Amino acid sequence: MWWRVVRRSFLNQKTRQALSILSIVLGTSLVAALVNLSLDIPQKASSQLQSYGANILILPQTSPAGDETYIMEEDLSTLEQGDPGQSITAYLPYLYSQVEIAGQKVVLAGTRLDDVPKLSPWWQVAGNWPESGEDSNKPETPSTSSGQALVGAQVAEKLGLKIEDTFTARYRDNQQTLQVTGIVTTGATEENQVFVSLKTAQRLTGLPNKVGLVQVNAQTSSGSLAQLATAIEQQIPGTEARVVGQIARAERQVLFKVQLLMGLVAGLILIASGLVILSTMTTTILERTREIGLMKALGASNRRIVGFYGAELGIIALGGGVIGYLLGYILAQFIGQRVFSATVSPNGLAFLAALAVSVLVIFLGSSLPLYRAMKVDPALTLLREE
Amino acid sequence: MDEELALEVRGLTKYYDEKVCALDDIALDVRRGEWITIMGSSGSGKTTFLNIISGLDRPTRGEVLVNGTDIAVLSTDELTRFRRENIGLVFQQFYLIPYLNALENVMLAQYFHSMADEAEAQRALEVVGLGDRINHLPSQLSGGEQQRVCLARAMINCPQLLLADEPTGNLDHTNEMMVLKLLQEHHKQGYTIIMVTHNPEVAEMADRIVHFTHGRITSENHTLDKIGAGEKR
Repeated sequence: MWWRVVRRSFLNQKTRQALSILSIVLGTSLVAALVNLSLDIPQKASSQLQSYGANILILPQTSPAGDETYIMEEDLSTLEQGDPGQSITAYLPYLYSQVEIAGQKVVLAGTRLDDVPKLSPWWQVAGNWPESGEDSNKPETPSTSSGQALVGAQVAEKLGLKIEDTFTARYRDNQQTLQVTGIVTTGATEENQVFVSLKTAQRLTGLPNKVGLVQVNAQTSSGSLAQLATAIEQQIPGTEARVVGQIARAERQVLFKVQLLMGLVAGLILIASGLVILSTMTTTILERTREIGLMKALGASNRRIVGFYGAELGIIALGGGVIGYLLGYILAQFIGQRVFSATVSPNGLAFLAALAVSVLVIFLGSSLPLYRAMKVDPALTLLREE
Repeated sequence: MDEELALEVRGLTKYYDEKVCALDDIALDVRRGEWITIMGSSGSGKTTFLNIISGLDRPTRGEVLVNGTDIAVLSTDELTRFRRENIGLVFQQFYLIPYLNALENVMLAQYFHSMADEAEAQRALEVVGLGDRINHLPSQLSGGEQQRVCLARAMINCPQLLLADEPTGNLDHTNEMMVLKLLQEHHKQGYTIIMVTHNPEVAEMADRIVHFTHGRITSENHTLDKIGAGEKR
């Protein structure tokens, strides 16, 4: 009988109940999205960050006399061995120098161009990458020794360089003719640089087998990164290994801002939802005062009356929680893909959070009206003195 | 305590806001199986009297014994329990739950009392001639039919007292007679009925007529020698 009354009563006010559920859904969907993103994105972002970009930089220790210092290229083979080798997925040695091209000073970066996509998959190259071969252990060939270069978009614009153009890079008394194979766009400082093979840079600068910096990508947690950096310093004497946290920090900041914004909006919507429930329930109780009075006159205890209305509220809470969770998941998926380029996995905690918030809002919004329902005087509502 | 009495009222006084006297030292005995009618002009205190003996209101002073239990001293929860176990109420305005059909309105009283029994509720509606209207909502029933549903609801738990406040006040003559006939049948079965009415013809159906004036009982008349006509419950 209890369920019959609850069902009939609920269906009797379909529009009002639907609006109540909708108001709850607005709040719970944001909470569910927030929880889903908060639980899933940091993990995914962390693993994504580790999957591309350098998270450790190896630099030569500075000389007390202030001389230029370098890392010997052959020492880098230790990065492929032992404990560090198991965590390191890729590394890129760089030799930077300032060269003169068409009378302008430009940063020339020599690196193993074949390995660049492993660490920097976001680089967009118009044209082609320089041909591989020179940085492998194969003997130099005429095509590779002729020199090919990838030119940063800003440099290309400044110097008027186009694909297949040739230019001469001068470093002190040395010079090297280079052909542009591609123009690189990265959205960062690389666009102001010219990239050549490591061997070309070493030859031009007269620093054979020397590198000035090594970018390392390691698949490990942030705590282990510090340990790995220490291990690298021990394996390659005269170097300093630094953990790079900039990108991770930037991602965390974006996530924090998204969380903060969503939290604020969710909070405001939940307050509004609570007020909608308060208003709806107050109206319901006022409209149904006579009905409540009748039930009491027939002998219904307050527990029974609250049981009827509580069940209706329970349906709203459950409906609001479930629909809110589903919409929240879709929202989290949308934000995850658009902002973080990551797929968000469904999370049970987000469902519980949506349900808990729904129940809490319903409880806070309906307590006062239910209290009023318990105080309804059947004599006053039914049997008025003529 | 007289075991023959369904209701004993002694020195019943009711003040509203400590100033307005609605009932003034009322004394009244109602025997089991008796049908009494309360008459009086508006504001004479008859509905207040009905409210108090049904446990919906509390007296300022006095004793109200229903089957020997002084309901004036019961707590709110105890009064609620007392109502569901002892009182059947019929109102002038019918007061049915609008979204429940006739059957469910009757079952609701069963549910509050103990346990809903659909077959029994259906039989109760058949008794009042609504066997074919059990699935109709109140809005789909005529005034007379609604009042008959109210009668079925009031009687479903076999109450010690059936209290009816102007039960035919909103009905046409045909439906009025139908409802009064049902009350007569219940009376014959031994139910104790206390009814408020303005209609002298309706009042004549009872065993006794009690007149209220300004919160006092001013006269009592036995209509016919009906006392004892019904089986005592």
